[in-house]
Amino acid sequence: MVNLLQFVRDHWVHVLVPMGYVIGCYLDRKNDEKLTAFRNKSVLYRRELRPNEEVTWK
Amino acid sequence: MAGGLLGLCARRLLVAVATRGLPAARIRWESGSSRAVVAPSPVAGKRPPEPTMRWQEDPDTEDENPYEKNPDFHGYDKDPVLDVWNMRVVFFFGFSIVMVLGSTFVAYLPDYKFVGCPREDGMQEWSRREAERLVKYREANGLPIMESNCFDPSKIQLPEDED
Amino acid sequence: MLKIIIPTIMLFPVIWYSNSTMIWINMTSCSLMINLMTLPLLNQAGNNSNNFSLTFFSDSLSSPLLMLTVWLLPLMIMASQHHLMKESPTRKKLYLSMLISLQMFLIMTFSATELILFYILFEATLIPTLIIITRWGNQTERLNAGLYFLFYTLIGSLPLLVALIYVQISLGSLNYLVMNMWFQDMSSSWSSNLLWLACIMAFMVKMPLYGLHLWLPKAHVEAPIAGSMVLAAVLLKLGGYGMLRLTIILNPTTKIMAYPFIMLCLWGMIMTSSICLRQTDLKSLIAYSSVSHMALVIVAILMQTPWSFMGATALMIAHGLTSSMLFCLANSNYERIHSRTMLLARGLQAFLPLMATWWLLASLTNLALPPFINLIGELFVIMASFSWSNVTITMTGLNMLITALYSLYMLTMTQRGKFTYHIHNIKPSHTRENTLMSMHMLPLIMLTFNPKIIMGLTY
Repeated sequence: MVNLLQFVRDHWVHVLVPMGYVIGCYLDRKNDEKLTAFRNKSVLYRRELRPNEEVTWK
Repeated sequence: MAGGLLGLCARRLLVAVATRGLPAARIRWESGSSRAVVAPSPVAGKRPPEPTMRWQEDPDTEDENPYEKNPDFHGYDKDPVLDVWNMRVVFFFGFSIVMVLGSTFVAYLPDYKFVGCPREDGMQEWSRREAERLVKYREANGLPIMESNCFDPSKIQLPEDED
Repeated sequence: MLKIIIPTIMLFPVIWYSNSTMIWINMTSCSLMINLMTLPLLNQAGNNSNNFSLTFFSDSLSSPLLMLTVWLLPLMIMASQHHLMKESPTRKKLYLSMLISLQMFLIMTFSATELILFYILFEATLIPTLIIITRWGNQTERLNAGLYFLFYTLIGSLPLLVALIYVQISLGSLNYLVMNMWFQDMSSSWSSNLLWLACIMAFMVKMPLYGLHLWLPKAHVEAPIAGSMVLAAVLLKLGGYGMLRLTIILNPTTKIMAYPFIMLCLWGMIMTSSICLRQTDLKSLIAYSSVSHMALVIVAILMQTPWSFMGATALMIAHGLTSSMLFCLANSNYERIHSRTMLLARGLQAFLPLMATWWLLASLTNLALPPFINLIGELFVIMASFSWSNVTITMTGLNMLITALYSLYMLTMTQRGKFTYHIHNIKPSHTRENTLMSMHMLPLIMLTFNPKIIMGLTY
């Protein structure tokens, strides 16, 4: 148990960069969702939704 | 250590010879900022001795021999354990991971880009292979290699002439 | 894009919280891991750019440059390990933080969509570089060099800010992706000529153009090894990148305005490579050689043909790796001889045979030996300029000749000849240095087999 604590205390810094990657991926996904705000809002390219679909693209 | 000192003295000597060879105009290799500090005094004849040309020199020239303590020195750290681990980490991440995986990734990248035809995103190598195959087929069957029509005219539906 | 930027920011806590003994190990492993994260950028689906978000994008021009930036961080760290051995841990950490912040700014610069954001980050890269040069350089002249570096770049780029604000007002947007389809041809008036100058001059200074290049040899020579590496490899390419981006909105004024600059570049190329022939200082020779190579890139960009754009992009990447390797080699000499003067480091081939091999390879890539990407870049540029005007072949051909001459001069001066008698205790080349050189060389060789990923937008 003590060994484990020691290990965690010594090496927790190594987790930071992969964690940054995961956070970055998550934020990127969230940011992509922001782009859906203008989905199918263009006057020129708007179209009627087909019956079996909810949005034009995901 | 002694060798290093000897080397230092030798270089001083060399530089001194080089400076003495210079004409009396005394070309100085100095920048504007350092000239303010070591400007030669205007009194003629009593100039301070020329500072040895240190403009390309390392300020601390002491060399210590790391091989005395650690015969397997890799150049990373003074501590032998850290030294060898640093080497291992660099080799593992640099070569085994990034170089190998990276070059494999790049080599097997999907072939998306397309030059000849900017209106379309296509597969460059695929289109070349396809063209070669088509040329072979047409040559074997005696067809003309290229026609003036890009599209098959029978497939294009034109609107009816209205007049 | 955040998935590269956030790990880069995470490098700050990694070094500040890690044991003072573990700094280097943590730093190299983490920065190499970030390298792995940037690889998917090369997967460019189609001719459009990868838009990661509203602020960041990358296309086949910026992603090789991003790769280069990220690849250079572990190399810089490895290269400066000896330089910083005697410093205290806090200073080491500070130095590494400067390098990390430089990488962070550079990543954002290369991937910014908005030109104002690009401009701000372009200027922001000055700060860490200036600190690296003026704090960790070796001689007192570093202050002067820092001054030159700062003011040349700053004065060059202030008109760009004015021009960008003007374009923002008149066009309504500075988003690069929008401007692409939106701009109108510039009128042929004096004011549009001035606008052209304002837009291009910042990058001309950064590249640098012959005549505006005086900051570069100073900064390169006085900077510590990591500073020289990043200056030669990435910061000069910022200029090329910016020019490639901005020339799109500057049509058709470029056609008229390019003439004097192309002349100046062609002439300056020969001048700077001739200056190389009479250098005594190893680092300054390499610095001048990069000026002459960059002149070729400016010519290519101003010529505005697809071929020359391909050549410019390839040459930028190739030169980034090559010149950085040459600086590393110069530094490994400097760590042994304690002087940059080439005369004092003769005959090293007998002592360091493996290092001599690296020297040979680096000189050969620098003079663009056939299979390497340097040749692809130079050949594309030279052919494009030949078809632009036949006369240019005399200049570019002469420049290739002089490049070969000074590479040979550099090689023979450092490697051949009788060793000077003050070389008594010379250390053998360390594993670290050989690793460093091979990490420069292997990407060059691998890119030689697959050059299409660095051919840029027009491939």
